[in-house]
Amino acid sequence: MLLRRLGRWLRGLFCFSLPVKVSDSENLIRGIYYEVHLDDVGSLKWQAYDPTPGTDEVSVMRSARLSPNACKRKAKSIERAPRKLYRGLAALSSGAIKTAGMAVVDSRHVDCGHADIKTGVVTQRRLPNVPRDPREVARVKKVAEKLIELSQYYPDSRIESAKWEGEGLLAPLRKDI
Amino acid sequence: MIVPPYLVDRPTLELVETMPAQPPIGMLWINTVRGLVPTVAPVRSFRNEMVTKSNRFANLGPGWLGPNSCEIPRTTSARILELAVSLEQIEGLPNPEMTPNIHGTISLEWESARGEAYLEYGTNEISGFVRFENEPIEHIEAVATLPVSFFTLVRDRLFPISQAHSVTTEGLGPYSYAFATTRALA
Repeated sequence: MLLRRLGRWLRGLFCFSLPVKVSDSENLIRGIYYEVHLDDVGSLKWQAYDPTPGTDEVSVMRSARLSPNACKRKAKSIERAPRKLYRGLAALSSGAIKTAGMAVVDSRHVDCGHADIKTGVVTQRRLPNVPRDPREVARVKKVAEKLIELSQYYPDSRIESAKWEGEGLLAPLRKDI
Repeated sequence: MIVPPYLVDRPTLELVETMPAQPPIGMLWINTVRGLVPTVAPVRSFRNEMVTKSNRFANLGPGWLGPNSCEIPRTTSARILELAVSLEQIEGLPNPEMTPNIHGTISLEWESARGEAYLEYGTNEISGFVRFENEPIEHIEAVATLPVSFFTLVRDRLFPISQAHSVTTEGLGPYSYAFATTRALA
């Protein structure tokens, strides 16, 4: 417990240069994996923005802190080949997410540069091998489809490379929401 | 029917493990878990994608998506195989989008401009919803099975025949209807 607190405090200390408030102009990056997040033709599925069970939070990385190379490194570090395969990164605009009625909060206690999109649809903790409440799935799917609309997916054409060699990770231009 | 020798006298769980990753074209490997009797039935290759994916999901193992992710039991995978066999009767219904879930279930989804159908298969239960054009959402809660008529309804409402007739089906053989529908939606 004490060690965990100390760890959080240290992470916060090393993260002091990053503002806690996520500005509207900031881009948020999410790692995309096959086959939970992508269909067979390589398009994002709504499951790409399914919140962590028991929360309304979708984990993302802050471009204000993490370069595209760092985002790729982090995304690849949680790959679980051959079952969860890193395939690329998706970019979203913090401002567009807020305009759509969701919130973006810094979560440096997880990692410096980590943030969460709070969708407002809190999901229940899931029981192993039991289907989710269909009402919850319908609500989550609707919100996730909105996030897909707001995001730009960049497939990684050089997956094996340690660096991000694709184009700049820019969120799509803001549309009228 | 000729049963390959390596499938004879083996329990079902071994059957899944010894299956080739990609079933031969034109064959669907049926895993009859309840009776522990491995059988092979010649059916159309149209549902092979469902079979391949459900077998792959059954091999994900615990922790496949992260520390708290559950493995997908073989019984759930076997239910999808059974469904694939049932769906053979329903020409014109495309293969669903299949997704393994972190809590060890499998989601099946059909979507068109006319609505959507979502089903989630657990070990013993199926839940989901259907939303047809201009109609309120209908929920399916914890049912043990779904009748074939449900899937026929999904086909009729989401992928009506008129769409299939709008494209040529010439030269596509006996599966022309199904492929034409899929093409029309692409």
